[in-house]
Amino acid sequence: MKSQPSITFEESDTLISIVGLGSNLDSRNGSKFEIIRKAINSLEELSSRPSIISSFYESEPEFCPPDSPIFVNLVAVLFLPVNAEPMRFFRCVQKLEKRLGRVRSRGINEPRQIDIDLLFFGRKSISSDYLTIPHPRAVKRRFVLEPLAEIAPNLILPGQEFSVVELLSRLPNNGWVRKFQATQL
Amino acid sequence: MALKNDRLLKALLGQEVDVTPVWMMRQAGRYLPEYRNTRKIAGDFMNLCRSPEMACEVTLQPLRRYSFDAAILFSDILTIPDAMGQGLYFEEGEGPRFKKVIQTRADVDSLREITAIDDLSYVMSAVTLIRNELNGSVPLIGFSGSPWTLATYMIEGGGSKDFSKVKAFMYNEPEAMHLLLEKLTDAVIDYLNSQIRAGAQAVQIFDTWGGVLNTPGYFKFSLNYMKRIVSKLIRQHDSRDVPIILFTKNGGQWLSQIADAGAHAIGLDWTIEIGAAKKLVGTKCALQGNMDPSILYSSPKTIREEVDRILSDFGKQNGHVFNLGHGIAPGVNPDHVKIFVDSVHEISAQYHI
Repeated sequence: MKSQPSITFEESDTLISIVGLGSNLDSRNGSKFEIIRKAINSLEELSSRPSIISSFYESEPEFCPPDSPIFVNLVAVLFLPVNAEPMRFFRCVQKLEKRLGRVRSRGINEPRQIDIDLLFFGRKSISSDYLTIPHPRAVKRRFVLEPLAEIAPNLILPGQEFSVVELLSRLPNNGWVRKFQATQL
Repeated sequence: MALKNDRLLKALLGQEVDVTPVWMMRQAGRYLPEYRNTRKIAGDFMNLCRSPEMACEVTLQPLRRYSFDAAILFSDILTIPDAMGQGLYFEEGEGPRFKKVIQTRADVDSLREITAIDDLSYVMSAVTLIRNELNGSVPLIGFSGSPWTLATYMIEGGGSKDFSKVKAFMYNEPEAMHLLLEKLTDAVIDYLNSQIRAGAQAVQIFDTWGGVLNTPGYFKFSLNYMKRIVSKLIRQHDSRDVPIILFTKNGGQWLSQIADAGAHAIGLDWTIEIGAAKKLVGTKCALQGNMDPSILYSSPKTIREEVDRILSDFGKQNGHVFNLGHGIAPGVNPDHVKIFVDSVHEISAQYHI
């Protein structure tokens, strides 16, 4: 097992942002995996040092229309400049989703080419029509916590008492999430 | 989160309150040593506006000292022209300046079309941060300059004594002037609505230079566009009304027309008696104002007496938000502000039984 770089929200020169990416629809921009890779490459450009990225995970569609395709997910930790601005970052993410073929006019939880959730933005707590940070459901989703436990198991997220692995162990046992085996690609 | 002190919103809507709410234009300003300190750290004035954290900090500073009933977003009125590509900068002691100045119709045509959430994202970030930090203690007021006032700076290239350039442009090129005002109107609508979505609970339009126009000029070039803005603003957000305040400095002679613009409240400068303004406006709009900011240079006794005089002139009715008739001056003793704010709350209680 490779050693884990430790991640902390307390660095003075960097703002840690955690994003969750998901796709359950191939598109003209590529397969689910390719789209997520493209998204990660673009997000990397905003990170002041190499971001920390989880493996790919597959997850069962939850709260989605019947027969929705399986999701591919991953989580990434980005290192932004300390004065990074939440609205600007959010709009970058929205534009990236659009560029990668996300169509927003569909119904709730319809299959989507790409979904990038801004989960954490430093220790900031933000709530407006545009965005809510920390993401209200971030610590309740297995497809967030499983990948995050891989890259930052002992991290205590803003507003939480327990580490990521502890949060994961406390989740109710619904909705499967499994690490994607590279040989399957 | 529930709003703990909603006096300001209620008073702007003409509803009953326990005491008259009070805030001050430029309450986050140079009279406060802590503001001067943050300003120094920021270096440049625009850095202060462009950093959501620092803008949030200075917005909250006066609320830590005084029991104001509202916070107002800390920003500059010229953010819109800056985003349109005019290049705003501040010359020490000279006030705002633009690198590019509008001189011809072609200059108007080449203005960049802007989207507030992208081009002024720093303002939206600040609004959301402030709203979060306020945590429901008092409402947050968002604001914009009026199209006419913004156009004035864009054509003059900064502040002006005689407004010769903007007036020459307006009389010689009325079509280009209207095109400029239309562009600014669209930008202001988007800017204010974005502020409301980001968390502003009331908005004020500052028409600092409307009062330099003649009467037909004011209606055509200033009020008309503010009216259009008012008609396009979000009226309800988070299941509360979002009050709109129109403030034209030196606009006392046009109050009955301003009252018909559809806003909830009118800001008054100190040149008109608030009782007389009340007679002109009736119950159509709430009134905000209107103590001469210079009174704050005087003794605590004089400040109290002036607060008392204005409150009694307005009388026992709903729909008054106490304010200064213009921004607080940098040289004012911060202790006098406390006397001012507390006097409004103490003396006004008798008018709200």
